[in-house]
Amino acid sequence: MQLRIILLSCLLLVLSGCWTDEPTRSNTFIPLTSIEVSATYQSMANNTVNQYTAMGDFSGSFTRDITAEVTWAIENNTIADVSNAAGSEGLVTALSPGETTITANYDDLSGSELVVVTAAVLAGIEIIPQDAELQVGITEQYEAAGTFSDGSSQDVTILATWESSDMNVATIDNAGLATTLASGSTTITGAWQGIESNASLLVTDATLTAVTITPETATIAQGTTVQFEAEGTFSDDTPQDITDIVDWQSTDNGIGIIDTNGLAEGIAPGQADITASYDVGGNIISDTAVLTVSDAILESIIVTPENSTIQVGENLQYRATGTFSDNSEQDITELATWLTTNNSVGTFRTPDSRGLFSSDASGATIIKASFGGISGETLLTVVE
Amino acid sequence: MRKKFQYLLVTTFLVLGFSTSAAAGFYIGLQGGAGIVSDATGSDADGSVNFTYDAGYDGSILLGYNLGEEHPSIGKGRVELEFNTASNDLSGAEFVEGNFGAGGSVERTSIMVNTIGEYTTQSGIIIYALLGLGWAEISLDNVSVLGEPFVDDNNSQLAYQAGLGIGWKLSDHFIFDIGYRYYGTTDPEFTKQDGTNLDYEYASHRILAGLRLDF
Repeated sequence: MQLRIILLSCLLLVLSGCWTDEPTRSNTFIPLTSIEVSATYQSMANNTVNQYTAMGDFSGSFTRDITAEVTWAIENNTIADVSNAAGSEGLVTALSPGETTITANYDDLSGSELVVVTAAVLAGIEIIPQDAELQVGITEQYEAAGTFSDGSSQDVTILATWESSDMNVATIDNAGLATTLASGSTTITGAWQGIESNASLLVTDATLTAVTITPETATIAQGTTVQFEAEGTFSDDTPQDITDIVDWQSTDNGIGIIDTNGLAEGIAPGQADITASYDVGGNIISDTAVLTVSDAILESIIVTPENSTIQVGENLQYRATGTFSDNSEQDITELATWLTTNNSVGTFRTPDSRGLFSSDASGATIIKASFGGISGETLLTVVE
Repeated sequence: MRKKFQYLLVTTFLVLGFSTSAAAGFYIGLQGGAGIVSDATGSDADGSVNFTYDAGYDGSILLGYNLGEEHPSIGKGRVELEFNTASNDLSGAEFVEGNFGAGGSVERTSIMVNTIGEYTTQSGIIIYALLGLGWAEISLDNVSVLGEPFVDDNNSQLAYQAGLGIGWKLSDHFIFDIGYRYYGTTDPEFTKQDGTNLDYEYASHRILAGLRLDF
């Protein structure tokens, strides 16, 4: 009996030290080897803003958004100015028409992109959503889409002045975020440079009764992402997308993390619960989904559409599909680094919609998508 | 960590009460073998990294006393001082992005007080169980990740071990034994090359052979 107790004690001591948890630290030892700079808009109207992004390639092993880690500089600061302030790194404000260069610097490395400021003036504003019907206690992000004299469009949400005609029904802040307070009607107005536009907002007295997350279960490979969405059901049986206003949580950040918009990233193999919750006057309404992170390794990438032909001036949205060691496939378009071998034909210029190619001239180029050291490519021909 | 010490305290008394008859007296001994350091997690402000090690050497000098049958108020068994040193090279570091190369080594110098219980079979084979407590200095020597210096520091911590083995009497005075021990410490803390702290773990599996001279 004594021998069994001693043996069991020794075994428990040994077993208690046999496993380590998955790591949570990013590798900051692999050298950054290149920086790719891109912008939301190819050109910007005077007095507007344009978000530039810096993507770092770490010796081909992985890429990471380093927008907030680089130092931004503008060659000609009479044409535009760039912010290095926390929370607005890379945000360029146009000061006068012209062209200059923006550079993202990190130690001895840098990446550059053109900044083009046009003389176009604001011709109109469209408020989105136009006619909204919301329940009490809901927030809604309004957007102001500006159209300019040269036919271009730009988001001027953060530049506009926002107002709600009946602040007892709903309020709206300087960033266009409206919060509903009581049932009734109000008019939301967005104005910039002497031009304004209105949208109606009807607030019903329905209250949130349930939250439903989709998908209910998701399996992703380590290092990839999946978008969860939350739909709210209200007391009047109306549904409402509340993905951006619920509180997203993961039960194990060592396995999967989730941001405020429901985008989950697989950190290490395992399973974690994803919850979306909303506080309705002290009553928490929530739902739970299951996120499974596999240890599958990316083996190949297929870029589609394959071997395409487009005309000069056209855009083409590419998708990157990763095939993993467990024979699963995942869309990794938003994770991949997109490159073109012949920049004179066109480039990838839109960071918010990765894989969107914009053509500039006729010719042929190879479209390449890279992620985790694996690449896929296809031929693109641009014709007149 | 607390559960490990609870098990140590409980089984220490059990070990002392678990021994057969032997002559009382001092002994000295030498032990040597392989030390296999467990994968360890190092944590700093940026998160946690898992370090892996190659197998290394592990050696000890022993000075002990066999209680024999002559101290019934204390119990039966052996009590010894162990002066130990061990070294293992780092082989890799695991980050969120995967495994990468690491250099440097982890060194251990310790002094342990061990209590050993023995059972001798009818054929003369000695089966023993061991528990020990002591103090260890753990050194991370020139640890680097992908050639970049990471930490070069040492730290002292409380140490503990538990083991099992078998032995044979070669003569009236010489005993040869082989055994396994699990060795651990309370979590050491190091200062990295950049001046910030690194919380670490240390545990080792010891495969040892020893020769003891009874006086």
